[in-house]
Amino acid sequence: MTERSRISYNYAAGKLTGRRVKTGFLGKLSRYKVLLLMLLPAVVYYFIFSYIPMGGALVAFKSYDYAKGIFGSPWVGLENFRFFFQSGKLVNVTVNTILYNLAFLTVNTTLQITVAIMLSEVGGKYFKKIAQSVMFLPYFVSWVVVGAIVYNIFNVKLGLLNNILGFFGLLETDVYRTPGVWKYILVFFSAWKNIGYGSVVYLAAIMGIDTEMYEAAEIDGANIFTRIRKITLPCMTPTIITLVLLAIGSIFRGDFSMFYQIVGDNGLLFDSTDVIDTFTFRSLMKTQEIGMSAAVGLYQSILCFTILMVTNAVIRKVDSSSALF
Amino acid sequence: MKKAWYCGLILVLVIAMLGGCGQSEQPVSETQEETTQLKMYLLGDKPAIYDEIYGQVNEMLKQDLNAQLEVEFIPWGEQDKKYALIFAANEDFDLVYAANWAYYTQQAAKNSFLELTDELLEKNNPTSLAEIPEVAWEQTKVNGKRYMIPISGVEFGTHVVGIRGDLREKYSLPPITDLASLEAYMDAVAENEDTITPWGGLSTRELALMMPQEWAYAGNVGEEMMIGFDIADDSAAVFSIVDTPEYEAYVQKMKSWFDKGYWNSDVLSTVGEGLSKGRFAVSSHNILTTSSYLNTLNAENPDWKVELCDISQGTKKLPLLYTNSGMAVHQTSKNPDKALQTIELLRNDPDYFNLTWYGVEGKHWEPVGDKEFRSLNDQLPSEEQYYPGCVWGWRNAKLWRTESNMYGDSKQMLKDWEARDMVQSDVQAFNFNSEQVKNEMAAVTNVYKQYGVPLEYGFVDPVEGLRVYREKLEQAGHDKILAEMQRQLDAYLNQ
Repeated sequence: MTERSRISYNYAAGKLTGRRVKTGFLGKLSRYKVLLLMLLPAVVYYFIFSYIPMGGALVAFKSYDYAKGIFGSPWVGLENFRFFFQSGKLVNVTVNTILYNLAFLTVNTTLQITVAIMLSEVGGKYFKKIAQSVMFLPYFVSWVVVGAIVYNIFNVKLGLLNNILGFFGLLETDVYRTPGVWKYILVFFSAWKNIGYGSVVYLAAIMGIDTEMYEAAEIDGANIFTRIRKITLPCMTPTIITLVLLAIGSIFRGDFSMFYQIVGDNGLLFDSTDVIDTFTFRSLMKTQEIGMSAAVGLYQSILCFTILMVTNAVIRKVDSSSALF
Repeated sequence: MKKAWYCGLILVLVIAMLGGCGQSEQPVSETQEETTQLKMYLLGDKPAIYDEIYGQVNEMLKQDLNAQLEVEFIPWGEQDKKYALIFAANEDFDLVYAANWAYYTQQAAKNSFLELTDELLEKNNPTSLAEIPEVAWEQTKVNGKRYMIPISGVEFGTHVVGIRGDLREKYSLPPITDLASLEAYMDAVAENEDTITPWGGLSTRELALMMPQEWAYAGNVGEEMMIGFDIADDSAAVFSIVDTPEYEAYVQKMKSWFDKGYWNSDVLSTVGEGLSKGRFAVSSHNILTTSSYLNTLNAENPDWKVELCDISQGTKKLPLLYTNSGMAVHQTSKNPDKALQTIELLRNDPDYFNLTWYGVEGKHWEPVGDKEFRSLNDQLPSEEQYYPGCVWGWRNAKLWRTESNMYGDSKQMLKDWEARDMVQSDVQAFNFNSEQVKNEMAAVTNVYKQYGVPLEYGFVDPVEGLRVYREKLEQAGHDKILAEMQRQLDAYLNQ
């Protein structure tokens, strides 16, 4: 139905029945019933899977007993949080988690935007499709497999790297005893895996930009770089901000499968590769205290919530239309 | 407009249907005829002929108890992760394998298992109650309560090594009888073999520290705590292993092993691989496991001339605790009585026992006298062979048979150990209650993995690394765990 007919229809409806537009909660409810109904599944989903389980955070303050369940187990106050402080690793793993996530965010976002712009500018339908598919492929490779790949590249005796170095007569390196290089390895593999997926999202944002603007700019003599800088990037900003904000919301959560599969149980590397999630896993696998792992989860959630609220408030101040809420 | 309404309606219906799925429960029948469905969790890989074996078990169970048993297997690689999860998720199962090395003490303290009261056992397990020695029942007690039906019989956890005889002969070395001759063998492999790395065994600590010193871990809470006791010493004192001069010497030695190329810096990814793939020259495990492992290897690679060597040199040995294996009932089992009766049958009825342990008589095994059996697996195609997984939980000294064709001299070794080296210790059976120090234990577990393990594989300087390890242990509150353990142990022994 066209814009014109909708206006005339609404107009006619209002005129014919002569009803006043209802305000207030019930009025809004009936007025937006279709939209609300469409929203319902998402609300129900989040209520069931995100809000009800929040009650489980209680476990963080209890000494869990299987016979008594969540509500019957005895309270222990903040006792479950103590090991985290006692271990002396609190600062180290929290800082690692944030820094790794910031590095992933910066590197991945930059690369994804670059790739998206390049893909949108280059011609050749087939080249575009093939390039996109090739970059998208790693996204489907599980971290377990990536872990095996990393091991096959870097292991000392039979690894690819040392074989190549040996072939050229260079000194063999022992990557598994060199903590310093692992931050680059991790960032590299994170980028390798996520670049294709992320660039598709940005590509969609670019496709939504009105081509008339580009044509006008071209007539006015703007070259390709000016067009990218003055049209593409500004038009992508809202998408970029939304995605970055969403990523910041989980900045205190380490990607467990990634760190665990690539680094494993190699204690030598922990100071530079340990994130909150791997530390918790390692510490509690033996004691198997649900309460203590819930305590760490709660710690992460509170920090994530705080930083998300703060960032969003800052963005709302600067550019209110880009903020999440 | 109408279309949108329909769409909305359909969505609501779909959600209602999805929601409804979770609630459909079968009505519980009141009649006596209803067959009880039991579910059991075991560790290990699911046998290739599961349907054949447990199909027969179920035929018998249908007759005897009007019950059906379904067994789920937790594969070895996932055991330390998945075992706790089945309790945490409160999965619907009745029976589960339990062992002191698989978190029995920790899980029991959290009431994951049903307490086995006198009443329950007298009613359902009279034979087991009489057959299992009183000391074994004592060992199962956590906070004074029993949570498992333990095994009976003597077994050793002492490690032996399996080596490649072809390599030993190639470098004309004498047979391996102690740590020094093992070192000579690994030296030869490290220096001369490009594609074979010497050490493919489990942690070196067992062979190079615990065994020569005649030490064992105290409290049944795992090696991560690094709290030991002297098995030959009656004074019942526990000590911090890391603080001893013996440990200092051990890490020095491990540094030299690493420098000599006994393993690579990626050893933690390959630890315990053993000889199978031809990449390593030494494997290490307890004697029964090693014996059957070498039997298999020898059939596949006779040219390797694998050898089973005891390097313990007559050191004193503790037999494994009776709680080294056992069966427990899930706290939330709906049919605890039937579950216990099933264990009673598996454990004490020769038909059930032989079938689940050894397979079909005449096809998978044949008896050799009363106490031994011969496996016929090697005459069957691999899809018909029977490897039972973790049936150890219902091992019974009266029915259990040893393999008649144990590898090399291992049968004689076992006899010697039992006659000559075996000692008993009261400290061994003590189960530590970690409630008061569980934060410290979590912190120490992490310190162990971050600072202890690299030190023991010689990746860091032994002097500086040991200093840091001791310092971190102190910060994590290791002293407090040690003191609490000594306190509880004294109370336990003075009972």
